[in-house]
Amino acid sequence: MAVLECNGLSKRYGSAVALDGVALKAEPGRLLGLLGPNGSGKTTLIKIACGLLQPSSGTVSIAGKTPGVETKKLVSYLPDRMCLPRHMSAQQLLNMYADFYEDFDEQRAGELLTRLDVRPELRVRQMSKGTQEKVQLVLTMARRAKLYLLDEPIGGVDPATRDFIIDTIMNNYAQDAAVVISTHLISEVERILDDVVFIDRGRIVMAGEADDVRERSGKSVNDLFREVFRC
Amino acid sequence: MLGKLLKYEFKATGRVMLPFLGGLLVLAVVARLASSVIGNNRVFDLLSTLILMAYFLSLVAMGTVTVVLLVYRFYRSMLSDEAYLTFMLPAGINAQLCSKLITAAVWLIVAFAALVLSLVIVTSPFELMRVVFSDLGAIFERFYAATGVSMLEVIACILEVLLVILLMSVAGCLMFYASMSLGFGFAEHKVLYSILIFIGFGIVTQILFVLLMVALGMGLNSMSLHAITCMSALDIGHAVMLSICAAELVYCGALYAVTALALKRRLNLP
Repeated sequence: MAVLECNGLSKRYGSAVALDGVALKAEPGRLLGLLGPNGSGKTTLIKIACGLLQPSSGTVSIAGKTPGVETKKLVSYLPDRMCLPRHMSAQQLLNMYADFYEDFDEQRAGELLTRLDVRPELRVRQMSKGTQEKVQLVLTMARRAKLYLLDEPIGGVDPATRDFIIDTIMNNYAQDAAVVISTHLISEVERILDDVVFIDRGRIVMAGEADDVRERSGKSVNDLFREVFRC
Repeated sequence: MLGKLLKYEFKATGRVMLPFLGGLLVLAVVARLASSVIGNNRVFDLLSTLILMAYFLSLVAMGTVTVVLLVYRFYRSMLSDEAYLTFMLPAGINAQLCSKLITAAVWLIVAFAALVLSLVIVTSPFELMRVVFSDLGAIFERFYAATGVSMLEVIACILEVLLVILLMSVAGCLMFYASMSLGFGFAEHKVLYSILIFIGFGIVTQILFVLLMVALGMGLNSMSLHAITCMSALDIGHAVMLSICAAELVYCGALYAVTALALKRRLNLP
């Protein structure tokens, strides 16, 4: 059974259409790239899957359940912005995640933070922007979730940090979990993707296994993306 | 889950409220010491006057600071970037809202207690309090003999007044919460919409209060003169206070429902 399944999903803001009849599936054990330019509807789709937005029509299910309190126990979400309380220290954040999420691996998170040289007493407001993003990613990936929704995890960070982020994603997600990575920086993530979905103006324009897409088009996913979304 | 939410809510608000309330009490002690040296020296007089002024200004500021902190906390955790973390916690809207409300109510009570305590420190009516408390029994006996009102009745009246004040404060917080939850559901001009909705709620509150008073007046008016004379003034007072409490509860419930619905259906995070 697909961990994430959307059918005929639409979202309108007044007359503006953010999503238009989107249908997709994220299978367990696979990394799905949700690829599209800025404003294509990637974040809206992820927010709906998280239960942060209500769809105008269509359905979303996570492990067969409608987004709500129960699915939040299964979904580990990395938003496209810093959402950690600035007054809290790294240790306090670990404690908080351990308090709220039964699937949070506190020891693993602690090891990753040690590798990052983040002192436990360091507060979020004392961290550099890059470190804040890394800490947020560590907290997200240290959960043994069924579905990881990562919204622009490598946007706005330096190349070294991008490598850390991609390695952390690859080495830490539970193997029976599905991972959805939304990004427009294809070249950085192409090598780790199993499936790709191209989304533009709220509609899915192409979807399939990454290898099939490469074979059919004779191009890398990155080159194909540039061709499809050429201005 | 509510317990865990409350734990983090108190931690987040306590780091501001506790130093502020502690500072108020320290200032009260300093003000008390300063007032005891007035008249000894012109420099001391000036210094004492300034300290007393600072204390009274902090008293005035306390209510504002408490409300602003509670409203800002709601904004930060429910409507700004932090809301992504808040709403991904495995807790429903009701648990989230209740944690905010319970924390707000507790801080309002603590702030009120700190205010009373600081006034006791500054005015130091210890001799008067000693006399009053040592003769409390006799005072109530004489009061009962003169008016027929027992000590329990007096305590009930005080509790009713405090309950009305608490409910009004909670309703005030909920008015902010509901206005912001609705206003931030719009795609643009979120703050402007929140302010306009708040003003709207303010007008509706005034109208409802006037209607309640009119209803209470008409209720008393419709009673026969015999019934009114049979009811003591205290009974009428109880009836009025409990009616206000009931109306406040209904109003709080309505504002709570609006807030919960707006956060559930119209949430539109940045």
